Amino acid sequence: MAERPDQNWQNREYVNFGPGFRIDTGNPQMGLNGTTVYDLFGSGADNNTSSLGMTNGGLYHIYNDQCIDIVGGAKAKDGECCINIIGKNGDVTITAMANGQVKITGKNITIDADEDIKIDAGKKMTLKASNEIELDTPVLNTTAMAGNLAPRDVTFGGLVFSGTEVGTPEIAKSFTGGSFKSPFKDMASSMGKMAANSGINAASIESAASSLEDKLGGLL
Amino acid sequence: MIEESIIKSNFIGRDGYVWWIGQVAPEKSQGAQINGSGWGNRRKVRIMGYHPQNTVELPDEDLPWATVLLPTTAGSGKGNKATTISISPGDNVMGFFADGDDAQQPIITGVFGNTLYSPNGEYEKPFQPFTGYTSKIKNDGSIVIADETNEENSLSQKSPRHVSTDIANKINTETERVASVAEGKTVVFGSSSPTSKISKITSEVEGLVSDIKAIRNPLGEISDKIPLSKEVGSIKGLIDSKIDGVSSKITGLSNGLIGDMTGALYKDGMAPALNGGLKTLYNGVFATTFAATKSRARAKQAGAAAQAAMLLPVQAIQQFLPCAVQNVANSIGDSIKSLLKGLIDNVTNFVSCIGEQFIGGIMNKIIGGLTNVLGPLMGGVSNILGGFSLGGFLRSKAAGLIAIEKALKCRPTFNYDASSNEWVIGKGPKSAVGVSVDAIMEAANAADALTKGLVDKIQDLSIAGGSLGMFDFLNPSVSSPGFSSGLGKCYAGPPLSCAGIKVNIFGTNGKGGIGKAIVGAIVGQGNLATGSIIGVDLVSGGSGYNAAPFIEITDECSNGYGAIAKAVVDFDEDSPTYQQITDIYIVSEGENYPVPETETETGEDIDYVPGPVVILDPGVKYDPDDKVTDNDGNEYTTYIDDNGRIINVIPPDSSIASMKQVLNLPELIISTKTGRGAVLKPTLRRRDTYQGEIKQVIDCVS
Repeated sequence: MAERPDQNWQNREYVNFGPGFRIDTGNPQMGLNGTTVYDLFGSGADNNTSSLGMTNGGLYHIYNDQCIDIVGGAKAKDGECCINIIGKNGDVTITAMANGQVKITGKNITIDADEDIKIDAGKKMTLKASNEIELDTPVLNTTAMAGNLAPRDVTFGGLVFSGTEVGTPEIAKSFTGGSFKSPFKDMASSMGKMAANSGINAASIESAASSLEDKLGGLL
Repeated sequence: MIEESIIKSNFIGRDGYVWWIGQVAPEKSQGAQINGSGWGNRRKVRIMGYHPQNTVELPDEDLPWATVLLPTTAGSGKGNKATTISISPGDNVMGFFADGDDAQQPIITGVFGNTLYSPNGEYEKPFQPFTGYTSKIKNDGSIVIADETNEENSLSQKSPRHVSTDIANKINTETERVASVAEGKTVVFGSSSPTSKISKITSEVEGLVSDIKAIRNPLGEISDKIPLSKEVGSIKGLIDSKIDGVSSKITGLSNGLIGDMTGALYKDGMAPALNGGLKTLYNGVFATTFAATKSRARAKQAGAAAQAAMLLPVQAIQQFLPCAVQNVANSIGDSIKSLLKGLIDNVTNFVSCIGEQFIGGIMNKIIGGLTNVLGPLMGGVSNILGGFSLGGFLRSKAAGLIAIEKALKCRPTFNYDASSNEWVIGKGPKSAVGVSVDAIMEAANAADALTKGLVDKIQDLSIAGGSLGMFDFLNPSVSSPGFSSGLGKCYAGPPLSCAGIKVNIFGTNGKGGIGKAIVGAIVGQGNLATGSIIGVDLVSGGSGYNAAPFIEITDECSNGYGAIAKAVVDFDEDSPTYQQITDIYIVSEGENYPVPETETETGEDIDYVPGPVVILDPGVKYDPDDKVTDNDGNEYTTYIDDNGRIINVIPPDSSIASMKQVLNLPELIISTKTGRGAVLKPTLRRRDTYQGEIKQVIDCVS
C-alpha cells in the first residue's frame, strides 16, 4: 500500500491542544470520502473518540463513540421550534443499528407523507388508542387469513371451503371469529316465532327469513 | 561598580536587550503553577549560560520563574479574551531578561518547534531533551499517535484518518489511526421491500465477520485461523457479546421471513391444496352414495356433510396460524447463533455465496420448524391433502414466497429519483450486493440434501443437530485456496488476485450505464503498483436515467479508498442522448487502487486525453477573452454568454492536436480578472487517432 504522490501539504494547518483535541484543516491524507477539509477531533477516557468535520467528497460528519445529545429549545416557548432536521434534497433516514430501538414521543405526533406511508413490522404491530382509532379512507383492504377482522372470503378457512357445498353461514361461523356478528342473526327464528304467534305459515316464513339472513349477513 | 550603576538606568528597555535560550524544567519543579493554583503564566526555566548543567548546584525547584509573553492574538484576559499558553516541560524556549544583566526576571517570548530527531525520553538531567508528556498528560498512542514534533512534514502530528480500521491497518499499523471505528461500516436503511430482510441479514453477517476480525486481530498480525473456542478472557467476552447481539438482530429479522413464509404457505400452498381435496372428497362421497342410493339429493347431502366434517380440522389449522409463526420464531435463535459461530471460525473473507448459504441455513430452519409445528395438525386433514407436502411446497416455492410482495389492490409503485438502500459510514451510498433468493434456496436445498445423506450414515451432526444443512461456511477448509464442495466453489479466503476495479452505477430507474476506471498517479511497480482514479471511461451511457445515478468505485481486495465520482445525465428531451449518462467526473481521486491492464480488445495500449468538461456552476462576470487551460498546458475553447457565464468548454481535438497522455487527475485553470464562481470538472476520453496538425485551412466557399 502506498499513498499517492504530490499531496498538497501546503494547505494543511493544525492546532493541537494536547493529545485530547485537535483542529486540522486541509489535511491531504486520503479518506473514504476524499481528503479532509477540516476536522475537530477529540479523544477521551476509555479511548472514546469524537470527530466533526467535512471531507472533500462533500460529506459532513459528526461521529462520537458514545451518545450524542442534541438538545434545543431549553428556553423556547410552547409552539416555537426547538430542533429542525431538514434534508433540502434527497432522503432523510434514521437507523438504529444492532438491536437499538427507535422511540418517538410527543404530545401530538404527525406523520405527513405527500404520497405513501409504509409500516413494516417483522413481528407484531400494535396500534393502541385509549379513546378511538379511526381509519379514514375510501377503501380498506386486508390480506389477513385469520383474526377477527379477516373477511370470510379471505380467511384461510374461507379459501379452503371456497366453492364447496358447505354453506356460507357455517364457513363464516367457523372462520371469522364471530367478531363480525351479523345484525340479522336470529332474524329467521324471531320471524318464525312471530309468524307462529300470528297464525301464518311459520315454516315458510322462517325459511325465507333464513335465506335473507344469509344474504344480508354475507354483505359484511 | 560605580561606573556600571552610573551607565545603567535600571529601567526596562533602556539597558539593552539581554536575550537567552533555555529549557522548561520538568513537571515536578513547576509545582502548583501547572496544577490549578498558578499565578500568572509562568514556567521554571533553566537558562543556558546562566544556570548550571546540573541539579546539584541549582535544583530545578530553585530555578527562577519565567513569565510567558503572550502574542497579541492570544488575549490578556481582559474582556474575557484569553488563550492558554501551550508550553510543555522540556520545551526549548527563548526570551529576554526584564531586569537586564541582573538576569533574575526572565520573559519567554517564543518556543522552538520540536523535531523528529530530538529525543523524547524521561527527564534525566538539565539541557538534555526529554518528553513533554507528564503524569497528567498521557498518550499511549492508540487513538492519536504519540508525537512530540512540530515540523513542516507529513509525519508531524499525523491526524486520525477517515477510513475503516481494516484499511488503516493495511496502510500502516504504526502511522495510521482511524477517526471513528464506525467508518467503513455498512448501514442498511429501513425498507419494506420483501428482500430487505435478506439484505439486512447479509449485511449483519458481513459486519460481524469484520468486527470479530478487528477484535481478534486489531493490527492484522495474528493468524485468522485460531478457532473461536481457543479465545479466552476479555477477548472471548467481546466476541460472545458481538455474536449475541448479531444473533438477536438476525433472529428478529428472521421473524419477518417466518411470517412471510407462513402466510404464503397457508394462502398459496395449503388453501388451494385443501380446497382441491375437499372437491375431490365431495366427488368421491357423492359417487359412492349415489351408487348406493341412486338419489342425487342424498348423494349431494352426503358429499356436503363430508366436506363440512372438515370444518373443525381446518379451523384448527387457521387458529394455529399465529402460534406457528411464534413457535418457529422462538426456536430459531440458538440455531442462528450456532451458524454464526461456525461461520466466524471458518470464513476469512465474506463473499456473496457465503451470505446465500447462511440465509439458506435459516431458511432450512424455518422450513423444518414449520413442518414440525404444522405436521400434527395436518393429520386431521390428511384425507384431503392429496400429495401436498409442507416441506416440499416450501422448498420449491420459498424463493418466490419471500421475493413477492403480498398483493393488495392497486399497490402503488414507489418511484424515487435516486435512492440507495445501503450506506457506508464515512463514504456514501453503496450498491447493494444483489440478493439472489433463487441462489439462497438452491443452497438451502442442496445443503439439506447433503445433510440427509449424512444423517443416514452418521447419526449426529454437531451443528444444531444437523437440521440446518451442511454448508461450506461450517467447513474448516472453506478459506483454503481451491476449496470446493457439493454446493459448488464457495472459497471464502482472502482474494487470490486483487486486480480489477469495478465502477458500479446504481440507484435510479436507468439501466445499462457502464464505466471503466482510469488509473493514474501510479506509484510502485509490477504487482505492487497502485494508483488513483483519474477518470472514468464511459463505455455505455445506458438509458432511462430519470436522475443522475450514484457511482461507486471498488476493487477486489478493498485496498483502494477515497475515489468519488459523479454522473451527469442528459435531461434535454430533444437530445439524442436524453436520459443517458453523458459524463462521469471525478470528485476525489482516492489512492491505493490496483493498476489494471490498459489495453483494448485488440491488444493496443489505451491512452487518455482530456474529454468534455462538465460545468457544475457557470459562474458570473467572465470575459470572452478569459482562457481555460489545464495543468498539462492544453488550452480549451471556451464559450461565455452575454451574462458572463461559462456555457461550454471544449478540449482540444486529439485527432489534430498533439496532446500529452493524461497521467494524473487534470486540473482546470480559468485565467480571468473579472469572473468568479465557475466550477469546471474535467473528464477523460480515449485518444482519437492522430491525423497530424493542421497545416493550412482552405476556404472552399469563397
